[in-house]
Amino acid sequence: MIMTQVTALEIKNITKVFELGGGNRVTAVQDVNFKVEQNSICVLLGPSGCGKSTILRMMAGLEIPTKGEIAIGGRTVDGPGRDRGMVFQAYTSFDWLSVRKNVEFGMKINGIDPDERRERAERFINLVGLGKFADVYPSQLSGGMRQRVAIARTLANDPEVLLMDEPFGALDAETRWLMQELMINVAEQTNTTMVIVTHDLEEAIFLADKIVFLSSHPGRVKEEIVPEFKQGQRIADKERAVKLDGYAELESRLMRLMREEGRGVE
Amino acid sequence: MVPPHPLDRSRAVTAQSPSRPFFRLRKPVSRRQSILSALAIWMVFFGVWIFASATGMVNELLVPAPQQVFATTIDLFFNRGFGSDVMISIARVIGAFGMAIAVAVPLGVMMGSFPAIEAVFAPFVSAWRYLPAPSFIPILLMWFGTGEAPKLALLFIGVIFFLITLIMDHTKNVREELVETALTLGASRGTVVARVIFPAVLPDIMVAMRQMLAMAWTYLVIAEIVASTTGIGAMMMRARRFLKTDEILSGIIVIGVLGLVFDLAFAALHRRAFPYLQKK
Repeated sequence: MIMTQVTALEIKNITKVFELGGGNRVTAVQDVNFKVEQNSICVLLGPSGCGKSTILRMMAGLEIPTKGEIAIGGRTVDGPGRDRGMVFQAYTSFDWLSVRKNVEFGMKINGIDPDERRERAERFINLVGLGKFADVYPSQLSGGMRQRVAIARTLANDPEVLLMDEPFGALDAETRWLMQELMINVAEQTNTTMVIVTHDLEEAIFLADKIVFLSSHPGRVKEEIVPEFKQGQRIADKERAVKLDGYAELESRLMRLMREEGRGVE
Repeated sequence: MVPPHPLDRSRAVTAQSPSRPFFRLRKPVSRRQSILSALAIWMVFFGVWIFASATGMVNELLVPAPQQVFATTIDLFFNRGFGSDVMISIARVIGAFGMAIAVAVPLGVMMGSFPAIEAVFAPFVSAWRYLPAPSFIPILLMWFGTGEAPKLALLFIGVIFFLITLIMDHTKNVREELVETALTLGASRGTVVARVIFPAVLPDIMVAMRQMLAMAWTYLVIAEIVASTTGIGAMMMRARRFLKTDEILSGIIVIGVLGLVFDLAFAALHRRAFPYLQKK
């Protein structure tokens, strides 16, 4: 892994207030600052209600911050764009297109010529392990495979940052591990910057180069945590990662943080 | 492994063919049973009809025997040019329905995609839905005379407002994540509507069209009965004047069969056009 210190995405003093109607407002996120380094995997972790999905959606340009700004490569984000691809928790495969056409979709609407499109689609379909299923419809695939389609589709579109909103939340435990290992592989092979939202401690520890822990009501950055026990390496084997010295300590530390926040809510 | 006791085997056999009650709560019936049941109810219907007309229980003039209606239908088609009436009726339905679709599909999809467009048209469209189409017949006749125009207009008015509303509602139900996915892939608003929202809602549009086509048939018959010299409805009104109940019944049956054929055709088209909706 190359850990350059170039900033890919900068979150500057972000506050998001939602109008609930009837004059009620709720502050989802308040004064949030952090940076996402290029080629790194940044995990936003926190209890429910900490606004982590809202922050991710603002990065994608699907929500506009009430205050502050988000910059990608120095440009201010003012709406969705192909430089920030997003994978959602819900299945987003376009059911009327084959897996291959799904993966080609972004390239097609962005005017990439057919030869390059096909080639890149092929490459990313193979990268996520769907080589045998390129010509079936998504409805014939399992949940995990559909998320693979979404990941391949987003990556094939060549975004600068891959944003993932609890992408494996709807999958069963076994599939989730496989997908997490796949993401490590993808990160190593494509050098994509990733921001992943999760409330799953294990997932956060396993995937993150950096964990941004958020407190809830309103969402604020509580701590930025670098999993030191990995010693700057990514470990593609979950079983090995769990057994490393320092894993358990980090897990209990995060658990404590989660619990403190949970108490605040009750 | 100990070989199974003979008694166990006999029990296994009965377990495979247990005596089940005929009326089971919410358990599907076999294909054979469903076909037999369907045949049975129609046999009862025709049985009662044949019996009633053969024994003189009903006035033969008012309720002709089914075999006579069948013979009349054949005669109408082969000797008396009923085929051209049927073709005219079909052409009216397809023509008016085609115009309604040409307006309702783009408008409904745009209303479901852009709340600003919905805000303009929804108050207009929903008001018209409460006006029964046949109430326009007198004014349509005054405006358009007795040619094809008033019939097409009635069918058009009868289905278009429902069609727009149905298509708009289905369009709104296209999942937000699909739209957002397309936006984060770099799609413009127009591309999202054309490449994501429209293909996503298309199967539901077809279902809405199938439902509304049945309604179009209803309005067609009304239009032809009230003011027409051609078409299936007009033939039935002529037959009434000459007390030809068998011809009226033929007309009813032909309309029913046509409705069924169109419905099945739509269902078949739906299966063909959207193979990805088939279960594994």
